[in-house]
Amino acid sequence: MKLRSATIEGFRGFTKKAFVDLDANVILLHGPNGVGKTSLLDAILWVLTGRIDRFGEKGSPISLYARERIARVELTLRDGENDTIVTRASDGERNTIRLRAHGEEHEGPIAERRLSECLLPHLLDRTEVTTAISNVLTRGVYLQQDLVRQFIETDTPAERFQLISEVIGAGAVLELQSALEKSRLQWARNITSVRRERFEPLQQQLAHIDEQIARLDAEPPAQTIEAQGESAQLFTDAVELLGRSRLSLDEAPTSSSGLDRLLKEIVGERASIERELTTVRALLQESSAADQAIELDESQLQELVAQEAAAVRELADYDAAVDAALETNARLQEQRLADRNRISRLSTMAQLALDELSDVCPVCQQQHNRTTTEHHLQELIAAAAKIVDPVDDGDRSLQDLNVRRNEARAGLEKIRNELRDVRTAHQEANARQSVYRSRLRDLGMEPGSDPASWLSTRATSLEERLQRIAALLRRGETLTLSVIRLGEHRRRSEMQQERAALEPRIAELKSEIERLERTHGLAGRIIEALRRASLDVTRKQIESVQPLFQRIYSRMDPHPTFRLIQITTAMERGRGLLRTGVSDPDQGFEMHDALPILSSSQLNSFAVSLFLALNLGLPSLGLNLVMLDDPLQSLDSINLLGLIDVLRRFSEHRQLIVSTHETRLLGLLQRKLRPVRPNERMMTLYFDTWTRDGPDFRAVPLEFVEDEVRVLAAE
Amino acid sequence: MVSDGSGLSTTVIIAAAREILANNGFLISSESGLTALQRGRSLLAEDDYSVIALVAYDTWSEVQAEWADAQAELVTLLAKRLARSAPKAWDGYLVLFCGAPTSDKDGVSAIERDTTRVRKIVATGEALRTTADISRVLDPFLPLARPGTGAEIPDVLAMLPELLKTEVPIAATEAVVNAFRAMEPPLERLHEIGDTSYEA
Repeated sequence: MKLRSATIEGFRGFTKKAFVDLDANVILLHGPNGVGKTSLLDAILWVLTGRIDRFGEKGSPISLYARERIARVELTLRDGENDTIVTRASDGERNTIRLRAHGEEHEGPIAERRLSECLLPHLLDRTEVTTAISNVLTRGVYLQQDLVRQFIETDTPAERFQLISEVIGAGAVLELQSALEKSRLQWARNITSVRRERFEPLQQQLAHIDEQIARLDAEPPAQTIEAQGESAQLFTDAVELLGRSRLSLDEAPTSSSGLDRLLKEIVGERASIERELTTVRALLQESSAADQAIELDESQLQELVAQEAAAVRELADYDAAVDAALETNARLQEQRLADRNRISRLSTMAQLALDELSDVCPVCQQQHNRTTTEHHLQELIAAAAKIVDPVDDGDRSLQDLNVRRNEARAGLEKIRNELRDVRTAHQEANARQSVYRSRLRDLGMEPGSDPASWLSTRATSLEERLQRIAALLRRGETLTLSVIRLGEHRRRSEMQQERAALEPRIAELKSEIERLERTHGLAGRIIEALRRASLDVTRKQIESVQPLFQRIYSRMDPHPTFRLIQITTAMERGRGLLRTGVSDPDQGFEMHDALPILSSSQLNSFAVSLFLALNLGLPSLGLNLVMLDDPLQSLDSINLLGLIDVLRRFSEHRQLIVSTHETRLLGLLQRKLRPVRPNERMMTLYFDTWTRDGPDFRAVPLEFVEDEVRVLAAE
Repeated sequence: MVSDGSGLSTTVIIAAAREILANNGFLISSESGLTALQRGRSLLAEDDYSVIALVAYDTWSEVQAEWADAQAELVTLLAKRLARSAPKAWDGYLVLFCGAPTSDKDGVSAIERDTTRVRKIVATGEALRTTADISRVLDPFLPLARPGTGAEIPDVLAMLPELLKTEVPIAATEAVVNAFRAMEPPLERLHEIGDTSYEA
């Protein structure tokens, strides 16, 4: 299938409707930059794919000067005698496509599908057909000026592998592989979910049941019991023994919990009776000692009262004696003080007289015996010096009296303490006696009864009841145990039934999980096998293209620095890689990445060679077309001549569209690519200028002319 | 008689070139009538596009001494037999073979990069060790054949069951491929076919 014509309107540089005759096997586009050459090539790409990836998100195919902001491109393709007309339009928001072929017309997705079937029949079943077609066209059909080296420079080995796989048709395998990987991941999550949410809870339930069963006695009850009858009899006996009012249950218990409640009430009653028996026994012990104690206390009390009265009297006698002694002592002290004062005064006067002593008394003028007088005075002074306090017998007597009085007071105090103690004991005995009688009344003893006898009878009665209660409790406990064991036995049976029902469910679920896991594993094997298959398919195709790639490169660069170029495939972490390298066996040199060692011009040759090899060597496309947008830049003269020679041979297989802005090269291309066979035609489109209405271009066809002139005659 | 392994002689070179070009649609003539294109070690070939003069030399010094004359005679021949406006008049090639190796890479490059008059292609002994090397030198003049592997890309998905059968049962691969084609969940379909598909 080849291009026949294009009608472009409102697309990129084409503002007004323009018809372009493309019915030639070689089409040359010439003109300066910016006059619409690339717009024409882009229009062809856009009508076939609906996108131009290099514009990214920002670019719009609509011409800035299109008055209705609608881009429309109609492309006529010819396959033998049949035309297929593809029309694509866009208003910036809505894209439409229409396809007419074999008298039928299709629109929208059907038209897209028919177009993809025409262009890439092997893309059957692909979900990303548009992307696949775009990848194939941009890597194998349309060599865009600004993407010449992208494949070598920018794309990673994995991206290259993916693109080449796409071009050769193995992209479907990769897509299937990707779809399976996603499904498998989800499948694994589902298995985990089944295991966690369904299987593990059942396993836990089973473990719980096993644990419960293990804790229950495996042996059945030794004897069968008629539990209801036993319970009724027990209840009747309890009522009879304790009294109806002592029990809260209205009727015989029918469950183990009811039985337990009855027994607890009986135990409570037993505790009450035990307390009463303890009281009765204590009272019985008190009954003999209480009265005797009170009588002893009374006689002692009277004796002590008499002793107290005697002691009081004795103390009063001592008090009076002490007072009299004190008075006597006071009088004696007063007399002694007066005597001491008189002697002291005489001594003082004697001292004064001695100082003034003469033979004549200065007072009375009488004569006296001085010696005698002096001696007398000396005696008076000496008498004063001899004054001392005499030892008083009265004091000693008083001290003795005080001692005895204190002793009498202590004796009185002692008697009074004893008296107080006796009185207290007496009061306490009376209180105990009162309490004792009160408790006897509380116990129900009739007034006038003999407490000891009554208490003794009462204790005997209580002990007898306690024995009956103990027997009743033993019966109750035995009955309760039997009931509980019977319940446990039933519970065990139920658990075993539950376990038996659970086991097949677990086994079934386990089997389901195993089957899910086997499917998961099988999907993994398929994925691994698909990886290998995609690598094998791609490698096989790559190997088939490698010689062509080498031939084209050798034609473009007859004496390359590195004699051999290579494209090789490899698998790394489950991803296919495609590497572009160079080698020179003569120099023993090999490098898997050509990028770092090739010059810019060599890299261009390398990239263009690979592009052309893919175009010619991978016949996946239903469109026999190759479009080169100004590929001659950055090529030296030898590479350029080599490329043109390659293109000349290319035109034997492909419709060829080449654009160039260099007039000198246009002439070379026209000569080299001229029609040399009857069915060949060359079309040169001269893009002279560009206005807001679009490019001003003219088409100059060149038909094949029979040239009979031969330089040589065949031998 | 056996080859002595001493490299390609001018006779072998010309014979091989003749065969290669003839097999690829060229008219061949050894009778150029040009003195510089010595009989026995040169030939002229022509196809729809171009006229090629091939000359084989024993030594590099011969090449250096004679290539210019050979080019001049080729140009003269083209001028004599073609009108100036004829495209083929501008499509002459001179292919210079030298059986002996040379270290004068600059000399080789200088001849090739001189693109005046006709394009020159030079091949010297180190690149001429087998007759296949003659094909490689003449390759730019030969048609570009598409690789021999199928002209049609097969339905790769349909091939998968057979391709994977050593690793995966055919039924399993078919199940996922069919599910993929029908946009159905592939593992569900795989799971449905059951245990019989798990072993290859």
